[in-house]
Amino acid sequence: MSKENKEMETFSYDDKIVKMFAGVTLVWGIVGMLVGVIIATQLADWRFNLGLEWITFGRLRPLHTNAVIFAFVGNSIFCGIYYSIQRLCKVRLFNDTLSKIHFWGWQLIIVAAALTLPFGITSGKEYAELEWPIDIGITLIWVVFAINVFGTIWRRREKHIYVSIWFYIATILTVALLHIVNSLEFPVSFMKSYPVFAGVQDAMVQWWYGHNAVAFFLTTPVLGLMYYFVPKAINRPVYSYRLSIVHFWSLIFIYIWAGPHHLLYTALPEWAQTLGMVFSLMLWAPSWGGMINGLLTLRGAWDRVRREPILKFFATSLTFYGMSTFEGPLLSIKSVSGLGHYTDWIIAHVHAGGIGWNYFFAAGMLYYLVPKLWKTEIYSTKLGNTQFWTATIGLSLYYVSMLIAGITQGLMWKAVNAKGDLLYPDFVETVTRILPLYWVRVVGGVLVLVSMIIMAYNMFMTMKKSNKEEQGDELYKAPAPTWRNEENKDYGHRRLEGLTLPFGILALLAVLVGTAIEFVPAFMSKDFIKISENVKPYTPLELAGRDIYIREGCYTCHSQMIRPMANEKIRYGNPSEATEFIYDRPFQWGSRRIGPDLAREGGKRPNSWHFRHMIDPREMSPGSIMPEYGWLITKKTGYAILPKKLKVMAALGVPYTDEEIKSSVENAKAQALEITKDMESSGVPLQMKNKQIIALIAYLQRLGTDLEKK
Amino acid sequence: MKSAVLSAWDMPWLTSAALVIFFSIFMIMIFMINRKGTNEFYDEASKMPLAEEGAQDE
Repeated sequence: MSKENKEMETFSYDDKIVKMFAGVTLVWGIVGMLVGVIIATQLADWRFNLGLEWITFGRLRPLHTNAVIFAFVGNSIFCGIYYSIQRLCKVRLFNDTLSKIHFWGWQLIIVAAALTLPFGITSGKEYAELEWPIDIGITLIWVVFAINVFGTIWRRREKHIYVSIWFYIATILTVALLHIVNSLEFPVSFMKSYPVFAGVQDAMVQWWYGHNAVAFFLTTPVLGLMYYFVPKAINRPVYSYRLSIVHFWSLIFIYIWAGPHHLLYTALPEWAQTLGMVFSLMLWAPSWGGMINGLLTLRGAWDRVRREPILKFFATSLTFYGMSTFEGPLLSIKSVSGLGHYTDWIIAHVHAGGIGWNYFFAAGMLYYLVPKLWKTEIYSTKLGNTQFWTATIGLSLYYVSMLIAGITQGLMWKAVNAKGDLLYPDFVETVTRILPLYWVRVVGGVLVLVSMIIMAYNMFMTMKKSNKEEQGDELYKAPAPTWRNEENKDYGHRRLEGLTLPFGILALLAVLVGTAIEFVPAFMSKDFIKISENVKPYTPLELAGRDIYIREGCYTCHSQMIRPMANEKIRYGNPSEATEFIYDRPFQWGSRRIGPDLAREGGKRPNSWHFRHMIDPREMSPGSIMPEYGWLITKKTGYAILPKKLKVMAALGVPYTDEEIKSSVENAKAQALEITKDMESSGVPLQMKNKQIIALIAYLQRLGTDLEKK
Repeated sequence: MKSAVLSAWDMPWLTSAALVIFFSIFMIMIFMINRKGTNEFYDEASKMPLAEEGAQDE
């Protein structure tokens, strides 16, 4: 475009930063997938937890999700965006120093995550586990990224802003909004905080964030990259540019509304549940519009798809995108959600997206980029094809095994006999039944990891064989941006496509509409939720125990939300009510039941049962796959910080009195003594009273008991 | 829970109003990008990713 101008300018691109992001994408990909394989093995056989607190499933699972999402996919996104935006704008990145700060800052955040999560330093919110200093770091680095991208767009030589860049703009603005709002927290210490939101509000905000992290971190930026790299790889324009416009606006507008499908089967009124479900179903249209647009771009070149790894990865990636975006809305239908939620079906679904869509796309992009950036040929096409088939077979094994495991377990939970009693009343029966499938998953995961290692080797050898003398900056020429001084004769959407600021504002508005509809009722909850007088704040010891529950990542296996279903009422007790969670910061509803729901665990079993269960779960529940938590009987409860914790809670609105804050240590010790004395007859020594296991028991015994009080 | 909040939010007509507004905006957008005379513009725009190397030869 703008080719009528003959005055040419010479410039270079900053490809060094693109190379750096490409390199770390490979490294973090291996790390993230390796951790995934480790935790998959731990689920297949609990002994792989090795009795070491730093590598138990509950602590490593957040490391896996963070490493894959933010380190592997994140770096691949930055790599692709920095490469494509320079070429689409025909200008060097806004500032080389900002690019370097972005790169090193992001790597530092990843390292901080890798150093904190295994030590149990976590906020306890899924996909947003990192503590407040790291959250601030993420915000600052994201702002640097935003300045760099918007600065590049601002200085562009091309008048028209290509559709890929629209997706980048929506990504940057929405991720900033999601991260800042969901990370609003009040520090207790350097690595501990409590969220500003509690219970219902926290759940609302968290799933608005969690759902849209998938939408705006794993989807929209990759779609932007798809609109650039697929046409580049096939050397022909995108099938329909008009369809890409419809795709963009409808996707970003609709996606943000769909969060409530994570809260289905609460006591949500019918119209509100339907709203969330319908918007999820509506996503079929734009998602498939984008997929079809990408696949049809490859039309007429299927022989090349058969031969070339780049196109093979892109075509499969788009196919998995189509499959995942079909399955997602399907799972949002209430009756389907009733079966699939909390089961491995969801795990199958997210890995079809995470591996099939994100990994395969990143692989295709790197096969295109690395030879181009290092000015050489790919080291081995054969290895590329081997990688493709290894990953495809691995993913297929993973997906099918988890799909079968999920549906099997979901059906077993629901199964009742002719008398209306549960057919599988012992939860562990529903776990042991699917263990063979967990081994199949391990095999699938190992194959995917091997494929990643093959790619890293292939890329490393490609880089190695390049000629170092040819690695300098290449010079490019493009028409000077004289269009800036000319009258803009475009109107309507065409005019908008050249205006950065109005375009950004409109994109932000598109996501804010759904956000407001979700948030307004949530923030007015005090006016509507009937607060039971029986619901009291946690005692200091229970609060300490709750923080241990969060530290160990218990929410990764146990939910705390009983749905209003007959089988759940029989198995767990009365459905959960909003009022029960008003002091929960953060909420711990969870999203998976590898173990049973704990919402009404309090008072069901003696203290000594919990004591022995935490040390050796198999003693109390034969067949259990829960890790052993031996360190809880050696580590002391952190009493000293309790007054500060209560003070922060009080500042956030929890009705602790000054007296309660002042006497929190004494109260905690007294309750600990009471619990330990209760277990003395079962052989638990009184010296155990100051150990963390007592605080955790205090918390577990409190769960769901408030409404039962007279 | 959100459900408890929304159960007291008795304005179901809002969803109908939203449907009309948003569907109208969608149709306006469809109309705008399919207007006569936009073919050349969008054809050229769709070729932007392919023009990168050509820039050196201009």
